[in-house]
Amino acid sequence: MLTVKNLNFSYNRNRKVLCDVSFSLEAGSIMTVLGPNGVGKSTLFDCLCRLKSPDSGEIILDGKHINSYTIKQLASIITLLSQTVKASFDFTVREYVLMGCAPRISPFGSPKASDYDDVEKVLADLEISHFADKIFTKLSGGEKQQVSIAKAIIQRPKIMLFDEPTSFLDIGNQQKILRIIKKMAQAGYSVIMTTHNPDHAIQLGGICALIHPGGNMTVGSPESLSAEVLSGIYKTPLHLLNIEELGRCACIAG
Amino acid sequence: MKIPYKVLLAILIAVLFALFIITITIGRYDLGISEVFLILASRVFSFLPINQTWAAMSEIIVMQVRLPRVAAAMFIGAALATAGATYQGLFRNPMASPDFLGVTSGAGIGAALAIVLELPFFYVQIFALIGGIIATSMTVSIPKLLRNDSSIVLILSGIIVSGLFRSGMSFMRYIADPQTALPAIVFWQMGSLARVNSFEVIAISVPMLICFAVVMGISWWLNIMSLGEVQSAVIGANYKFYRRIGILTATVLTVLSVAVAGEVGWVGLAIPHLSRLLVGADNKKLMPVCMLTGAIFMLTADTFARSLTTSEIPLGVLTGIIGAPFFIAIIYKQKSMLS
Repeated sequence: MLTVKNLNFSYNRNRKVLCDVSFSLEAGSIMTVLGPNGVGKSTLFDCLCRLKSPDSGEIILDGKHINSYTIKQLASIITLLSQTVKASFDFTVREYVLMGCAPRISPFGSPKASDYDDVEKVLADLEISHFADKIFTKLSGGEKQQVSIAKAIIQRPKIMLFDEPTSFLDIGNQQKILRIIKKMAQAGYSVIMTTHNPDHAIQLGGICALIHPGGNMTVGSPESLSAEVLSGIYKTPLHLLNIEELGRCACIAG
Repeated sequence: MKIPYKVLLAILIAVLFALFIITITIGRYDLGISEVFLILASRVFSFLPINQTWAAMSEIIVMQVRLPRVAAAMFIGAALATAGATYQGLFRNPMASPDFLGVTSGAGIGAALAIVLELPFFYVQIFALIGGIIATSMTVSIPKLLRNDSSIVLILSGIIVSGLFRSGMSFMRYIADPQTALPAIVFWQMGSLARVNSFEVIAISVPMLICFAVVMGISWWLNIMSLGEVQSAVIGANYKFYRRIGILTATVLTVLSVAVAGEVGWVGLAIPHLSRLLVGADNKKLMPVCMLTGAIFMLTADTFARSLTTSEIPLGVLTGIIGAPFFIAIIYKQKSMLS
């Protein structure tokens, strides 16, 4: 589905963020990306969405080089869900989600009745129909995140990139978003998610990538995470404790 | 409670049509509503056997004096409101107005130049048109020179060019003949439709209608543009393409309006906000409402301008007086959005 080969990116000569990053992702699988602030997690996403072009390296999406797609084709393969969307006007949730239809709309056209029906269906599937008429900018963080997911589903991509979807959310909403992400993968989407919480990587399973200071990336299973490595990259003592009731490890600071 | 969209459109069209007939009857030469209606009907439906029951003078007044002026007011009101809404969507800025990119100040200096050179009024309009185009071209080329095509640089370029042309305007007023040219420049700057004729109405209406059609075509995409360049790209919308088309159409609409009517403030800023209160943020619904309310507002303002006193009141003065308290009310209603 997605293959990244020897990706390098630097903002300038003194700030290199991604160094020889390579990985591949199957359809329907989840990858979590961990790493301290500023190592290039968001930059990696920007490269995958062609918002930034890497210094060198290849990104192969669905069998073809990323640069061979038009804007609309690319948006119907991969999409990015970021926390920082700012709508300058009072769009309703319905109007906002509808924008995800863009890849299928002609340059001077607008959505058809079937597109409006799709929006209702997706809102119902995510059980958020009750705030369809609310103003997007006035929603809570958790609600906004669910609406963004609805918009991404309307876009009908194969790969969804979640940029720190759990920051700013309370612990209940964090778990809700993780459950939705798991469901998305079961439904066949490939999901990559960046997070600051190693527990989320352990909970989601799949592949876990660690970006080290300097921009090198190591890929493994969440079980292969080690307390020493995590402590090293975050520069604080961290412990991985096995919690018997849960049957998994938990990452504890202190 | 919100009025259903189609009902609202029907109401606005009915109001505009009623105002259109009523404002033609208003003026120093008395005309009745049925008289005006029959004169217009006989022209539009020339196949109908309508007997001429009106004085020949009435027909001349309607066709050559009032109809061009009323039509110009409607077109210009619609154009400024649409241009304002387009700029606001494109630049994600609720405070954007049609003179955002320096169109008005450029047109002003063009008009002033023609007045100072004592050219006929027709050239004043042509020079205003050219001035507006030059100013906008300068604004859009500064970001290219700086190799930074972000919207904020474009907005700053607009401020720079406006400032530059405004000082040019001060210089023009300084050298203008205080007996003849200076009052003409001042009057032009205050905006007026007093000298509009049917040729001008036809000349501006054709390109304006094309621009209205283009704006309707990109109206839904303007919603996505207002999320910014990155979000547009992620959703699959070509930001630069729509920005270019939006700037081009909004500028053509503004420059044509300013060339004919001079500087008329407030309409392009206040009407989009009023329209958003009525139908919400979706530009696909907003644009038609903007066109209708803009036309209604301008028609009302211009009718006051020509009939309130025995002499003309400058249009810009009236739109300012009506616009300011009106805009305060809109901001009060919209306070949640602006907080």
